Parts: sequence; C-alpha cells; structure tokens
Amino acid sequence: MDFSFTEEQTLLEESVARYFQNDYDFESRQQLVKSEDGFSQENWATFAELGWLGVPFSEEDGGFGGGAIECMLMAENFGKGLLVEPYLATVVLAGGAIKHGGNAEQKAKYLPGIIDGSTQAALAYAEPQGRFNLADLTTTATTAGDGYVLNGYKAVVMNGPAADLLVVSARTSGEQRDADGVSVFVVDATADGVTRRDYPTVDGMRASEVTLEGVQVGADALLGEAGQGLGIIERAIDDGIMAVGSEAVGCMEVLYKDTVEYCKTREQFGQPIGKFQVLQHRMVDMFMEHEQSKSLMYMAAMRLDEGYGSEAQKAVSAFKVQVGKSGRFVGQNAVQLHGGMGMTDELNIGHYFKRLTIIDTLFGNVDYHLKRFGRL
Amino acid sequence: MERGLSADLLAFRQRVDTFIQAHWPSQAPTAEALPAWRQAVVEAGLSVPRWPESAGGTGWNPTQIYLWRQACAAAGIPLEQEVGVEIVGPLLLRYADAQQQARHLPGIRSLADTWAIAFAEPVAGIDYSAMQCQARPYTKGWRLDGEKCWVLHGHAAQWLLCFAYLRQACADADVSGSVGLFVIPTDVAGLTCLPQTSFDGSQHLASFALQDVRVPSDALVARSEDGAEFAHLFLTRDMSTLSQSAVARAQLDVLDQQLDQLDPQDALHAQRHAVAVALEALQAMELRYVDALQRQLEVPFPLDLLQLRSREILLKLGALQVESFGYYALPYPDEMLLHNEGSIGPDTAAATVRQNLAQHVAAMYEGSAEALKDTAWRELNSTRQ
Repeated sequence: MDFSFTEEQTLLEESVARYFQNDYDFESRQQLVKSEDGFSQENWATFAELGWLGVPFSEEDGGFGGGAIECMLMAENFGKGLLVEPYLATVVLAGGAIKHGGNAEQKAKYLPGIIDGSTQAALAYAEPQGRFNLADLTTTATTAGDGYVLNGYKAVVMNGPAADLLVVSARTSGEQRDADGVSVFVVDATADGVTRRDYPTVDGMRASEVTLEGVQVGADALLGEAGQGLGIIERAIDDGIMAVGSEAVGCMEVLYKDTVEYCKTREQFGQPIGKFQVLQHRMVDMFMEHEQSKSLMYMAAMRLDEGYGSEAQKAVSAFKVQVGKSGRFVGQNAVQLHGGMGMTDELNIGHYFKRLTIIDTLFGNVDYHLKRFGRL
Repeated sequence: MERGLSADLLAFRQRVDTFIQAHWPSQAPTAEALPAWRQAVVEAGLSVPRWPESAGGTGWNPTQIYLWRQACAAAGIPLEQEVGVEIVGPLLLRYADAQQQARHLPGIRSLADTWAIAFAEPVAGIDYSAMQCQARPYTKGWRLDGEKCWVLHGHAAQWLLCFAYLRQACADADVSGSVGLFVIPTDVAGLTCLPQTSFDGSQHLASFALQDVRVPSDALVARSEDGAEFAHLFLTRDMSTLSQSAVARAQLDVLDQQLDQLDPQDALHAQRHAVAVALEALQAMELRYVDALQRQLEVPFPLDLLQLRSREILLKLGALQVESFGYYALPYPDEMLLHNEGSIGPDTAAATVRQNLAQHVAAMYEGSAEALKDTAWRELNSTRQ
C-alpha cells in the first residue's frame, strides 16, 4: 500500500500543473469557447510538443507508456484549468479504442497522427434511444464486397465537429441490445455518406449529431473481431470515466478553495460570511465530498493499472457514482455560497458547475453506475 | 502508487490472522470468549499496540497497527478497555510523571483496570470553557465539586479521568484557571454514580455527582491553560477510528444476507449499493490516512471527518438492516421475554433493532456531527493554509 508517485509521474504532474497555472487562464479559456473551433490549435500543438498526447500509448506505438495513474494526474489538472481542448475525445476515447482494439497495422496507421497532434478524432458510440447502454445500437454495418456499409445515427459525438476520424460502434449481427454482434469501425469523417450537425454543449465544448448513410469502409476499418467490439467500447469508456472523474476531482478542489477564500473575504452584516457556522459546515461537507472522490479516484486508477477486469470495472463505477454525487453537491453549493456572484457568467464558478453537471451524465449517471456496481 | 501490501506486511497480516484464528471463535462467540481473548492478547504483548515499546507497546508502524485493527474488527472482536488503552494511557504517557505512570499504566496494559472519562456536564455539555466542575487545593491535595454526565461505562469503571477547572485558594476564585485532569478511584468518598438509561434501553452511561471529593496531590496528572488540548484528546480516538471500515463491511455482509430474502426489485437494493460505494470511499480514505502516517507526511484530512463519515455509514447500514425486516422492525421485546417465549418474527430482528438504536446512542459519545464539523473546520483553516 503506497500512495506516492514515481519521479516520472511527479514530473509529469508538475509539468501539467505549471502549464495550467501559467498559460491557461480563465479569460483566455472563455475566448476559446467563443472561437470558431472552440479550442486552440496552438495549444493542441503545444500539448503534442510536451508529449501529453502520447501519454496513454505504449512506447512501441510511439507513446509515453503511461497508464491510468498518469492519465489521472493529467486529467485532475485539466479539471482545475477547465480544459476545452479535445483531449478526452481524441486521445482517451477514440485513441483508446484504437489502442485497445486495433491490430499493429491499424495502430501504426492512426496513432502517430493522434500523438503528433495532426489528427483529431471522436468516438461515436451513443445513440438517441440507447441512453447509457453501450450495446443498444440501431446503427448497422453490413458486409459489402471486402468491406462494410454503415447506416445509422450517432448522438452527441464529442469533438465531432473537429474530428478527422470517427470511431463508430455498429451492429453487425444480433438484436438491438445484444452484447454480441457489436463491431467497431474507424471511419474517415469526410467520407461520402457522413453528415454532421455541429453544436456547442452546456460546458463550452463541441459535439455533433452524426448521420451515416451508406458509408463504405474497407475490411481494414474493423477494430478487433466482427461482433466482438462491445469490450473495446467498454474499455475506452472506462478509461474515459477515469479521465472525466479525475477532471471532476480537479474541478471540486478549485470550487472548494475558491469558496473558502470568498467566504473569508466577502463581508455581510458586518463580518466575513465565513464566520457563520452554517456556511462553515457546508464547506466542511464540500471538502469531505472532494476527499471521498479523490480517494476513490486513486483506488480506480490503481485497479485499472493492475489489469482490466470486473474488479477494475467495479472500482470505476464506484468512482463515477461518487463523482456524480459529490460533483453536483460541490458545484451547487459553490454557487450558493458565492451568492449573487455565483450565478454570473463572468465568474468561473458557474463554469465549473456546468462541467461537473455534464460529467455526472457522461458515460452513465449515478443511478446507472450504482446498478453496474451492484451487478459486478 | 501501489494498492497491494509488501511481502513483509503480507507476512505480518498472516501472523495476525493466525493469532486471531487461534484465540477468537470464528462463529458465535460465547461469554467466555472475551476473557480468554483478553488473556491471550496480554500474554502476547498486544494489549497496547500503539504505545511506545518502552511502555509495553508493540513497536508496530501505523500500517501494521491498521492491519491489526482491521483484522480484529472484521472478526467482530471488540476493542478491549478502549478508554484506558486508547485515551488514558497515551495521555498519561504524555503528561504524567514517572510515579503516576508506574501506578496506573500496568493496570491498563494488563487490561485489568476499567476506566471512564468524566468530561461532559449537564449544563456545559462538551464545551470545556463552560465547565463548572472545580478543583480547589487543600493541605493534602485537591477537593473536587461538580457534576458529570454521559460517562460511558461509568458505573462499571474502577477509575475516572475527570476534567475540572483548577481554582486558586485566594480571592480570585471567579477567574477561570487552567484545566486539570484528575485520576479518581470510583469508590472514593463523596463520589456518587447514577446509571443513565439511554433510549435503546441500555445503561451504558452514568452520571456522577462530586461533593467534596478529596484526592491526593498526585491525582492531578495533567494541566493545561488550553482546555481544547485535552478536549481533542477525548473526542478523537486516533487509530481506533481507522478500523471502522472493517466494522462497516461486516455489517454490510449482514445486510446482504437479509436482502437476499427480499424481492430483487426492492428499492433497498439500490440503497445498499449506494452505501457500499460510500464504504469503498471510507476505506480508501482510511488507507490514504494511514499511508500519510506511515510516510510521516501531513495527514490529508482531519480525523474527525473519518469519524463522522464512518458513523454516518454505520447508521445507514443499521437503518437498512432494520428496514429490511418491514413490520418486524416494530417489536421490541426485552431479553427475558425473548428467552422465555422465543423470537417474534425473524430471529435476528429484535437484536438488529436494538443494535441500531444503540448505534444512535453510541454516535453521540464522540460529540455530535456538528461538533465534529466545528473541529474539522478549525483544523482545516489553521494548519492547512
């Protein structure tokens, strides 16, 4: 039992933390949210130079060889800085699906572009009727010649507008909700038959509704075995939960500290409002929620790095439940304790609150993961 | 980061498990089990594990103490003479002189002496600054007057550790003095014990009236200008708090057995999963806390928060256990009726209801949730800036 980090992990964490402290202020971030792309290509190139885009990939694939702990350390700082660049969508989700499901040729074809920053990608896994069930698919892929033809509709594809590659889940056999029969394909986002309706999300990110009409792909677009792709998606989503959960922990830390600072300086009725016991207790509760989430973050990361299986999945779901519950509590109370300022768009508080609210829903909310936790 | 135990710690845990298997029955401990366990623990030199080795401690590091506590809690072994071992002993080791230590520590170490702490008062509660119990010097020592209440296991104790304000003999008697800690035998003249019945029907608590209780000078084992220093020692039980996830896990197992009897769609299942997640978080927090102690780093959060969280989880588990019985959560027969006429409804229902009520009573021993949050807030804003 050891909660210390290796020297390499500490250096990585310090590097990311320093970047967000010095080069990623809230006002600049808000400008990026309003920009055409919704993020900074320049920042993205910097991330590539710093090696961040290669952290989760093996050294033989050109990456850093990091695992869940490295991802956690980076994402916690992404949360503190309210990152808008599509690290989650491109590196963790789409890159993760290729990493876990692709063969050597596919990895060699797609991962270098992700690692050097030249390729943007998105994981198109959700569908309107499926809610959080990853196997609930009406999108189909039927064999045609040497390849497949995809037809269907993918919902809320994060980073869809910027994506060069779409990693798409589709049914090649079985009934709509069967675990078997799911396949995963890498699709050129500009291929004939792919149309995107782009829009901003509540938390300042970008997403697309993606329609696939007679989209032809080759056999080499299939990741893993036909019909056995659900495991690839599940694994990528669990990595995604690890990442957004860690982001949430970072968000909660900022909200707690900012709220304490605000309550110590904001005076009402002749004294700092932090003197009021009812507010002190609320802030203790916020601290407690953050610490519980952080504790389960560590456990989930260690479980994932020990090996992917039911114990790791269970730890990830426990983490997601805690983050969903705690994130809402901390976010809502930070807004409440900031009073009138808390509801303004100019203050960062509301933006952390929105990100935490989105994170609760992403990849399954509290109820969904409580059930999954109970099943495992 | 590494979740597993080192080879040394795995071997240590194996030794602990072997010891427990040899000296504690795996099922349904009888009345004789506890005295036998006590003797085994004392003979093995494990009665005061976190004391310094020079005082009879084990010399274990924080992780080893944690593993020992966890294993004992998981086996359902109660902490023996907890007040003496966890609070009075460390306090005497810190403040008392050599003679006072020589007089009292052996009885604590051998688990022979039973101690209680007389801290709270009817008016002051646990607010030491409003404490009215006073000690005045006289030619042979100190005379104490006042009232103490909510003294856990007070009526069974041989010794009281009593908090009192020290008053000078001169005219400034109204000026608050320093707080003193007195060791008082419970059979001393002028001390009257009255058992207090708590709402679960038990009599674990007692009140004490002190009327001209005279004790020798060396009964005063510690004094401080800041009563908070002592109050915190009383309210925070340090390492014993860190065994609560194992206690809760055993309770979760009991709940699971009960839920097996219910409809799989019953809403209690979802509540069970929620409390199981909370328990995972509690254990992870315990591990982080112990890891910080082990590496001699600042602890990541006040211990009061672990106390608070473990209490909330145990109360929730108890409530779910009771709820699982449905209407059979209502009967509350006394032990005699149960013995003579048998159980009413499920065999374990009455005991579970009684235990849940007792948990609510026990939850107050270490201060209310609000008192713990007050302490946590002060710690968070004094040392962690």
